[in-house]
Amino acid sequence: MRYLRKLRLMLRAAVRRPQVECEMQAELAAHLDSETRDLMARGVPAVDARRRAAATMGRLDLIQEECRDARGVAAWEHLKQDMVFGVRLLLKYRTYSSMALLTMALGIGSTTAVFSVVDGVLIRPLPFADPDRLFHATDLNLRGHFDSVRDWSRLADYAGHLGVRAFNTRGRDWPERIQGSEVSANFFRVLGIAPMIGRDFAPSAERPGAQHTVILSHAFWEQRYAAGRDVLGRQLLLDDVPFEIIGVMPAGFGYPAPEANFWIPMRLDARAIGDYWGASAVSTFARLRAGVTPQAARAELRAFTPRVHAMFPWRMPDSWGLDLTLTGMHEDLVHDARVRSLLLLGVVALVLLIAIVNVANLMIGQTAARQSELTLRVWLGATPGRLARQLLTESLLLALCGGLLGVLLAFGQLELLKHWLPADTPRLAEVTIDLRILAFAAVLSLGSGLLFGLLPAWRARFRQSSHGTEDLRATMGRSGRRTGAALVMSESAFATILLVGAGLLLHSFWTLLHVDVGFRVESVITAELSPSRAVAASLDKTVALFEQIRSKLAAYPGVQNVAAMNRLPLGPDISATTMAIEDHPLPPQAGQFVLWTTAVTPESLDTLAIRVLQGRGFTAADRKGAAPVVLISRSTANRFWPATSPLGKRIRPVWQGEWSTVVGVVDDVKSYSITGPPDWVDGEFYVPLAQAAFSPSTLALVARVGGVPGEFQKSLPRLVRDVCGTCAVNKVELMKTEVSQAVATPRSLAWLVGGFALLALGLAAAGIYGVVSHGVLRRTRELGVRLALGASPGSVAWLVAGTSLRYLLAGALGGLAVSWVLVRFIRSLLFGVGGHDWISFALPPLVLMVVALLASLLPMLRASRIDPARSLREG
Amino acid sequence: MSKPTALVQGTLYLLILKILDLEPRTGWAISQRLRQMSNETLQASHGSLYPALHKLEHEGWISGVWRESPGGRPLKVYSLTSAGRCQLQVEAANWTKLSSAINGILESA
Repeated sequence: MRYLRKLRLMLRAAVRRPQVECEMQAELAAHLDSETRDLMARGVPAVDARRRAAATMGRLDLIQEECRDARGVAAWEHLKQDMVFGVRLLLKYRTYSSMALLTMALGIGSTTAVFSVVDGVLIRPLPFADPDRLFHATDLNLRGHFDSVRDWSRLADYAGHLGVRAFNTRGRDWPERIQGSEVSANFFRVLGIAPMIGRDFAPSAERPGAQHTVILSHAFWEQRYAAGRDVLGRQLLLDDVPFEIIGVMPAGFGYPAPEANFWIPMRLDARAIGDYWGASAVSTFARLRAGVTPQAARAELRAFTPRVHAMFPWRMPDSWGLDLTLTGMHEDLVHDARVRSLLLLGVVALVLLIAIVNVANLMIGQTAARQSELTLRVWLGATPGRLARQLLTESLLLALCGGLLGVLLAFGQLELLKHWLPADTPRLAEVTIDLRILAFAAVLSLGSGLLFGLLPAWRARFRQSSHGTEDLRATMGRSGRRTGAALVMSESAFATILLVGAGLLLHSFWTLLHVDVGFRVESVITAELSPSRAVAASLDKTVALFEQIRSKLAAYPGVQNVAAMNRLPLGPDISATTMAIEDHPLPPQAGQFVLWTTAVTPESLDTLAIRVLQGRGFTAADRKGAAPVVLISRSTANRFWPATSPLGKRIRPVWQGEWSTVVGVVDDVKSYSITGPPDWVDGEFYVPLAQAAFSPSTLALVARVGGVPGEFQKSLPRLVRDVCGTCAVNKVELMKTEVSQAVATPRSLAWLVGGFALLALGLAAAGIYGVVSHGVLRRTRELGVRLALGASPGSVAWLVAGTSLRYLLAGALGGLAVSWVLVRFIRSLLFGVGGHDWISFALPPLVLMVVALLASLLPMLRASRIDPARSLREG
Repeated sequence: MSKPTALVQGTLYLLILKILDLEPRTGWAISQRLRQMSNETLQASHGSLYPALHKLEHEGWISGVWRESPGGRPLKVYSLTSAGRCQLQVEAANWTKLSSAINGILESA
């Protein structure tokens, strides 16, 4: 309350200044008047009385000034003066101000842009009602399990989705592929969001025989239906099945992924046993009911496990389903994006720190250049506090202008970031620069201004207290050198940390790029083929269709091999089967064997140059009805039959009675990821497409082409459509492109951090240049003496740079020590590179030294060319 | 310089607060009262009184209101606020403590 009052008085003093001034004068006049009257009443003559009254009063102008001080008017006045003066300074010293502003803008801009990403990804709550009560149920992904738990639970409402996948729909000329998500009927209700127009799914929509209904995303509705209100009741053809449009979601809703154009009910059919109990497809989440703790919900979930266990059509291991757990939905969504975003935030924070050090350095140089002005001020009676306040005001002004520029820059940088950040960064589309981010930028700018302004301001006081009138240069020398050393050391430490980080990520990326994927990458073209549902539903028809396409494509000049697989190696789809393996009975506690599964046509191994190490590859004779056969990978053979030949051994999917015989062993291939198979996989096998357990809904075509593949790549869709008018053809790519997609995330991270490290290096170089050239300026007279006494120009130049380089090295060593500790935070992002990789630790100091030497060249040259006679005369 | 030393400044605040505790007064009346009460010992420069008054008003311990004098002239009359009354107690207590401490030193030495 008191502060409010005080502020009101201060504001009144500042805003209604004329009135306040007038009142003050009236008050003092009234006093004089009363005093005069009093004296006259005591018999003093009128002329004398007025003079004596004035004498008791003292100097009126001084009193008025003190009254203004007491009311806090002076603070406003000084602030205004300092601001005006600061603006004039910025305008006068253009080089200095543009350097400082640019540096600040880069620092604030980068930090603001990255912070907006961190805010959007990590901080902002999920856009659902009561997001804190939403939990992801890990490992609850069988339809049968999900269906039962949802039915039984009393503590939480469970819902699920099958992720996002593509469907065929009718395009203008050819079938198109559009992405959508299959969800449980209660999906939207549990998330707490309702269609903007139309209605939600009926509870029975997921049961067999239900009417096919679809809900559109807002963006898809606008783009495909021109946001027409009459869309309800119309039909959308998905994989040749008509779906009735019953609703449109509000704008911005894009769960489970922003690519989802529509949602259809997932199928829950207890009679389709393989699908219902064998396919790990559902991502399940739960909304806890009021007052239920996550612990209670988890306990309930685990308590259901024995009941579900008993429902399985085949025996599950005893350990199955015991470690089910619930994680916060936000946390689950963010998972490894957390480390990445925080890493980037740390990186830009370091860039900002370097920027602040640079500006502090610039300001110190500037104050040194303004020495005569500052000395004059001291002579004229400026108090140390007043001088420090002026310098601080100037730096805050600089910081605010820099921050303003930085925010403008941040808008551009955010667009670049959205483009460059790994595409799998969750919620990236939601990231914007809003008022909160702007407030963050303002606080950041002011904080930076304080940081880089305090140093020169403190030094101004310091100099003052040791008497401004003495030889200023003498006091400047010592403290100037000390400050310069501190600046160089901190700058080089920050830059070193960044360079080490960038080095580790780039080295790791380099290693990833040079991993042998184990299959042919050059001159291979791939395409995604999606036949109509009528074909895709039948394995025979799919195989027959492929035969037709194969003969058509193989006739094209230069095409050597054409093959098809259920998925591309390194592709995004998961293809794993729970298998029983002969001679390997499972102990009751053990988990099932899960084998990575690839269905291939016989030509595939040749096309992709996957070597057959033992036995034989597939032939055309391995068709449906023939004896079922499989190939296994070398590491699978080593794992299950290390001592004996695996040929003739048998494996089968757990839900299938018929065994398949191992007829060959092929070399290991990076199927799942460049970094190797996931830890939940026990091995890998190949099955002839004609004998596959399921008919794949899409086929990956792979063709090996001699010569220039570009022509064939362009013609491929047309060639396929000549054979199959109802097939959608997508993603016609070079295998090289597909493989490079697999390292997209580490690549973008390495480039981003590398880019920021480069920026930091540039800033550090500018800073070191500043310190060294300032040093030359400061020591002109000393260097002149040295030259006059016979020092060689080279040794003088070295003297100038040598000191800075020593501090630089000290700073770099400090940076290395800090990096050594910090490395553990990014270890999860590294592949094939130890956290304490010696190259990444040895290179940064070297790079920094070279860059610093380059930055020092010009001032060194200047030092060696000092004219002793002139420097002594002028100094 | 018309600026009094820190000790005197603090005491001046205390004295002004004490004087206004009795009744609202103008600046001139305060200066008169100051002279009278201290038997003319404390002849604070009238000049230093006004910055002090403005400071106290700024702190919210006293408040000034413009009133018409019997002669028809506008006069600024200061009175103690409730916050000022508290401050008076604090300052008075401080003063007692300080003066007794100084007395103690003077007597024992």
